[in-house]
Amino acid sequence: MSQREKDYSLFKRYCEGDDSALTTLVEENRRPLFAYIYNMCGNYSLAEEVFQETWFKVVKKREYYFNKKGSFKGWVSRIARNTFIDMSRKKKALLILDDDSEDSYVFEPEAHEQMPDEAAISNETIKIVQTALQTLPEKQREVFVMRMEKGLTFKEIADIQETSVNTVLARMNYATNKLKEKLEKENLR
Amino acid sequence: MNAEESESLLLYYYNELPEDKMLEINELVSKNEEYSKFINDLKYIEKMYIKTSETLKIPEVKIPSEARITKKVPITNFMWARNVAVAASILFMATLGLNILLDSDQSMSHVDVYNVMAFVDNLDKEISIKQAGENDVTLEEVSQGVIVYQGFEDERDLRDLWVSNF
Repeated sequence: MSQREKDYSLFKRYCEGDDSALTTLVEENRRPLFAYIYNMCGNYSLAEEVFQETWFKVVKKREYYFNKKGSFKGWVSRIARNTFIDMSRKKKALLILDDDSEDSYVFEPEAHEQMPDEAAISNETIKIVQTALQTLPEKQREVFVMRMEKGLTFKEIADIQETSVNTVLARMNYATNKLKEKLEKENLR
Repeated sequence: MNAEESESLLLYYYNELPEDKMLEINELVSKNEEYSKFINDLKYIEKMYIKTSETLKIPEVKIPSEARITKKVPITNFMWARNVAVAASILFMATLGLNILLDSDQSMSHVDVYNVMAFVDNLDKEISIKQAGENDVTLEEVSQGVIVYQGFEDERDLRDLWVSNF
């Protein structure tokens, strides 16, 4: 069973009354979804608010999912994207990374323990990568994170951004080139 | 490397090509230094991103229990509701069009454009948006599905504006 079919089946089970199916779905999706939202917001507090509201809407609007042909991940991403647009407009949030803000990135140091075979990434490197990401134009950053983090296909991303697959591919190409240049400039390679 | 080549390589890397094309590009990558460098760069960027992302603290999901309570939701097709919405929007567009035709300058204000966009957008119809040097949009342009706007950075600015005006 593909991931797409698995997500569909879990969400259907939840809608039919199996609460544990939602718990599984949340656990499997919360990291990529939050990382996507955070990278769009560049602000932890706002990202958390958008994240909670997104899940609330997923539950509240659950029956609408079955009218759509797309994947569960794509549907949730679309909800997150619209929620982010609405909330940032209402709050007139600052959408660029504020280097001086303690709120800009919240680390989870224990995550390093999950990668014993890899050298732990330093806080400085994390900051460089995050800053490089935040300097990308929003749509390029969105394509990059959706592809890297959420595993959405370029076609699914094109549907969410309401554009062509070629445009999405061009955005991905620009994003990776710019990131590569920035990381090379910082001697990270 | 041109845009077409790099786009093909992106599709190849993410396994989004048909099998025969995958095999074809796989062979090219093994022979072409520039292609293999592109793939290696992509792997490196991905690795750096994933490592960074893994350190992000993920909040617990808090769904209010009253919202979460599962009562069986009938999974039905809401096409009838969509059809009603389509009919309503056609009626709206026709009324709007008539108003514009009766108007002497036959043009729409931005607020009208937002309203049209809201309807079109709600119906998931594809619209093309282009920047233009004129302030107003003609009925003909609307009927051709071309919504013209001016003075906005991009589509999202316009969206934000019509959300607040509609």
